Amino acid sequence: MAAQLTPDEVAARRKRVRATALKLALFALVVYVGFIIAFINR
Amino acid sequence: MSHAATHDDHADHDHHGPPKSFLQRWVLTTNHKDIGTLYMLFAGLMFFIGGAFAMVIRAELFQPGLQFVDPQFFNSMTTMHAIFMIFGGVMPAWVGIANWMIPLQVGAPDMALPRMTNFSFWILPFAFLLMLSTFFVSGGAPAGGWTLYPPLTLQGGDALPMAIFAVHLMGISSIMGAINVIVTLMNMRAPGVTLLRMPLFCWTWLITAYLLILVMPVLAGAVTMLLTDHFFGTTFFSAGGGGDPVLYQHIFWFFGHPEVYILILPAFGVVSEIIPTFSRKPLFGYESMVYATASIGFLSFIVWAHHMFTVGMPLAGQLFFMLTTMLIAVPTGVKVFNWSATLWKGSITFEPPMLFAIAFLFLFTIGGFSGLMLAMVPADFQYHDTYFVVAHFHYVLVPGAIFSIMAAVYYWLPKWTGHMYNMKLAKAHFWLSTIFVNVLFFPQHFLGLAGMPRRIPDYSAQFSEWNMVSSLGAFGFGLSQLLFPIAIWQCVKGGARATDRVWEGAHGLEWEVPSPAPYHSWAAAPAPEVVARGTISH
Repeated sequence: MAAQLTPDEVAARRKRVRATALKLALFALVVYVGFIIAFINR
Repeated sequence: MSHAATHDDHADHDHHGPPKSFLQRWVLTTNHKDIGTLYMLFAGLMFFIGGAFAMVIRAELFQPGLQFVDPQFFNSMTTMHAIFMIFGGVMPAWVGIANWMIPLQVGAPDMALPRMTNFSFWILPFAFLLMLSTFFVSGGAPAGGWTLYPPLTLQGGDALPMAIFAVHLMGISSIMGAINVIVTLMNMRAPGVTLLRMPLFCWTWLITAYLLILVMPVLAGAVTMLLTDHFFGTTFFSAGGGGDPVLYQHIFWFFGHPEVYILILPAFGVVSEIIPTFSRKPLFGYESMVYATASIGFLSFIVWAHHMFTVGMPLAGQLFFMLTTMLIAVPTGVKVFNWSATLWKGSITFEPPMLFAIAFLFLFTIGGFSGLMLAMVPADFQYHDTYFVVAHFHYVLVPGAIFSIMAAVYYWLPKWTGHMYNMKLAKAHFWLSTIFVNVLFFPQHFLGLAGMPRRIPDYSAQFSEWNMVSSLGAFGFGLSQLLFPIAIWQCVKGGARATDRVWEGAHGLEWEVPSPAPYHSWAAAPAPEVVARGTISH
């Protein structure tokens, strides 16, 4: 039969989703700012 | 069977149909299928706008001399054609197909971040409206090429800040789309769908998404520096203030080369789905395909300067970038070998998706080989900025990326609409496209080898014949693309009912749900036996 996730599993998954998304967004921001800063006064 | 199991899974969700109001269904939607559809409609529109720009280019080049447009407008056409096709056509088409298919293929109820899916789509129409509006400002649309090289691009009119803001918006949209794909594939796979049981389309998209997150901020940084150079007195790219215009080329191509793979890796994924289906055999060398894709992704970051051999770099630099570029032929060769081995002794049939996939195999390889020629430094000094380069990247992008998008649409369209499409029309679309794409782009190799430079509205008389042939091919190719929306529209409106599996040899979780795919699918994760049947087995 179909496997239904428990509410706890859904909550844990939501937490993982947010954490992964935040890390990736932060990474993109660091690359963006980092690339500009790296070339200031080059 | 699968039918019953799937209907059981979805029985209690059937009443959650799409919202009735247009605004809620198409503007406020968070449904991955609706947003996937929106992305693809948008990409289709951009293909036709970008295609219209291409028709202007080929009409002007039909014969020597200036016929229809002035040189400035011609340069705007080449610039806008590239930007619309790359950022408006190919990328949104792949994101749309990813949004539609990835949750279905990994047994997830939706993308992990549904509101972000909506937001990432709705940024795009504004970005491209802004880009289009540059035609109406003083100085006209950007005309310095899609690469926006300084100092040329800084000498344009009022379009510069608008184009830069539009590129920022496109970048934000792509980054959000990529974050969504990674988060979905990392966190939302159904129990039992391990990474190495995922379909190749998901794998190639996962790697594409990482490339996007790594390089789109680099492009955004580069154009931000252009902006500050122009308006705030910085001199990142101005030799007069201690900067260097070649620095921009390095930064741009650090983005630009992985970008090429962003356009083509999902195509590899689609072809890896279609060839096994219509060969009625499992994909040969699944794991080596995954490793080859990852290798191509890695190598794409260490080859960028092959786009700029002629700027005058040290010999060691030239050798490094030449050899790393040639190295890419190894994982790409693994892929072509695996596709050929999948075909070997298969029970092959030639439905439209398979026709496009086979054409991809041959014609993309032609683009790959001319790429190898361009990788050789001494040869590149001759080919650089000629029509040979134009022929090369159009072979990679048109019968490569765009044929794969068409293959993907013809492959999954019955799953999306619940109807079969008109096979004769789709095959006519294929044959006309394949014939004309070669008439269009193959002569450009000859023109380039004979020395015709790219991005010029006029040329010397010796190039007349092949330019005429190429333009005729372009008009034929452009006209044959009108069959594509007709075939899709007919399929949306009706046609023979599609079965759940659609294609006899199809294999994957998307074929375990009914056709058309219900508005909400996999609300409950697929049962273990469905996962076992619908995922890659080793």
